[in-house]
Parts: sequence; C-alpha cells; structure tokens
Amino acid sequence: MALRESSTKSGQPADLDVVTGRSDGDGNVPHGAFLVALAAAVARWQWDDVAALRQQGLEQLGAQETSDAILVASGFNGITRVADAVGIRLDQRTANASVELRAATGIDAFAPPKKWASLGG
Amino acid sequence: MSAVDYAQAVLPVADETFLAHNATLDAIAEPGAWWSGADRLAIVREARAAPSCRLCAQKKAALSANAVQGEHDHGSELPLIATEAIHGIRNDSGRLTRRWFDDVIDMGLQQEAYVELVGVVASSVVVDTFAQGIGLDLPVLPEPKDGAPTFERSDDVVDAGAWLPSARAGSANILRSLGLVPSASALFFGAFGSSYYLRPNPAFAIGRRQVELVASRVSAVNECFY
Repeated sequence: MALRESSTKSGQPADLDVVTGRSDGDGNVPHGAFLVALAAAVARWQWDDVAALRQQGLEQLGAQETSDAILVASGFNGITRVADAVGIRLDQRTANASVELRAATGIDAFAPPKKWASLGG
Repeated sequence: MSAVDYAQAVLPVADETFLAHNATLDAIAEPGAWWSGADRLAIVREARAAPSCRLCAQKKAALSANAVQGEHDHGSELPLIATEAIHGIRNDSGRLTRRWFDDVIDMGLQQEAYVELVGVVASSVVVDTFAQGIGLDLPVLPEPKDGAPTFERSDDVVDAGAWLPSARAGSANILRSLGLVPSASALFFGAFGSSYYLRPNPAFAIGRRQVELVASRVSAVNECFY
C-alpha cells in the first residue's frame, strides 16, 4: 500500500501489477524488474537464484543498493510472518483508502474471511 | 566473537544492521518472558529445520493445510504444539487461520508464550534471511544464558480485531501486534528496524519507491495482505 502512496507522490504512479506478478517490467520504478525478481527469490529462500541476482545487482545496481534491497526483503520476510501469525487487521485508514486498489491487484485474496473465522463465529 | 559476522560478505553491510542483528541473536539467547534462553534458541533451530519437514511439504501442496494430518519432522525437546506453531509460521504463514491459532492455544500453548514464539521465529527469519541473502552461512547461535523466564504480560492491551490482544498505543496495527509481551515486540522490531523506515534518518541507497516495491513483492510472495 505504501508503494502506491510513495509512487504517486513522485508523480509517476507505479504499476502495482508487477507486485503480484500480473505483469512484467519495471512497473515505473527504477530497476523495478530486477528488484521484483530479487525480492521474490529472497522471500522464497531460492539461494542459487539470489546468488545470480546478487551478481547482477553488483554489475547493474550497485553493491550498497543490492545489499539494501536484500535487507528490506529480509525484514519483510519476518514482518509478514508476524502479521499472519497474529491475525492483525488492516488499519482502518489504510483499508478505507485502498478498497479499489486491493480488489484490482488481487491482494484481497490474501485475506479471506476464514482467516478470522473462529469455530464459534 | 559476535554471533553474526558480516565481514566476509561480498556486499557492504551498515554497522547499524550488523549491531541490530547481533543484538537480536544475543537477546534470543537470554531468558525471555515465557521461554528460557535454551528454549528460545531451540525455537530458532526448529525454525531453521522446518523447511525440510515432510509434513509441511504435504500441507503446502494440499488445497487445505488442515486436510493433511501427521507429525512434523522435529529435532528439539520443545512441546509438539510449539513445533506445530513454529513450522506453520516459518513455512506457510500466509495460510494460517483463526481456527489454526485457536487449536494451538487449545492444545496448551499459552497466548503469551505464543506471542514470544512468534517474535523469536520472525526475528530469526529476518537475520537468517539477510545472512543467506548476502551469500553467507546461517549465523552461529550463541550459547544460552541461564535464568528463568520473567512471565511478563502487559495489561495495557485492547482488542483490535486480531487473534490476540494488541498494545493499546501505537500508530499502526503491526506495531501494536506483539504488545501482549512487550519484550517480544522489542525483540522483533529491534531485528526489523534497520530494514525499513522505522528508525530516525534511514539511509537506504535505494529510493523510497524501490524500498516499497521490494517490501510489497515480498508481502505478495508470502501471501500477506497487510
């Protein structure tokens, strides 16, 4: 959700379909295709792919830039587990502001009603 | 010697990240609120071993994880229900449900112990993912520190619609989510802090849109809506 906000502020909206894999390309983000591939490989712990992308990053993006991208991916590999393991809800402000966005990108599918349904509910 | 050693990495690592990740592993080795230091390290080892669990692989391949029953491959002395929780969080967190959580609690894992377990697993995921991501082996875990759990539990919590009570104060639900056990929250966000814009004057070499793109892609891969 923050991607949309940050990219809109920049005046060049990101193509959010690259996030969910619905489209290829940079998504209007510099080195977007590379970053999407690196993020996915890190999140899936596909270390052979990460090694190849790391080398690509050194050549095309820069060492510190590649390291930072891996750092962000690593952090979100942890925080998504926290969010999913405690069943938190989307903040109301974000939820209200992103109804169409979540539906359009398919993100709603990651939050089916059964995620919060108890046996008594 | 530090548990984390990034000196051999081919990529540069900021001192802040090195210090945060090292402090995370040291903190895990300390007695926690509901688990001992040895238990917390066992939780990390179990999380590291979880990817090779045959039951988890069958669950992940099934349309419904609940349709597959059996016993997890495990190598620790942790309670079996803790192993279930660790493997679920490590291997298939996007499909965890309220019913799964209720079963875990009904089978004897206290809510507070669960919160701390989540914090330990997720913190170790941050540190381990980064180490391997920059081409290193998994960090060597420190020796456990002696001492008993503190049985810390915050009463300053509210129902925010999550499966567990959340901290009353906080600007975003995720920041409040481990509030039932403040030390678990501090552990996780200590590990996570350098990975995003939580700290003062973050200095990423990539731009904000690039950071958000990476974060969003990881969330999508992990099937996390948040």
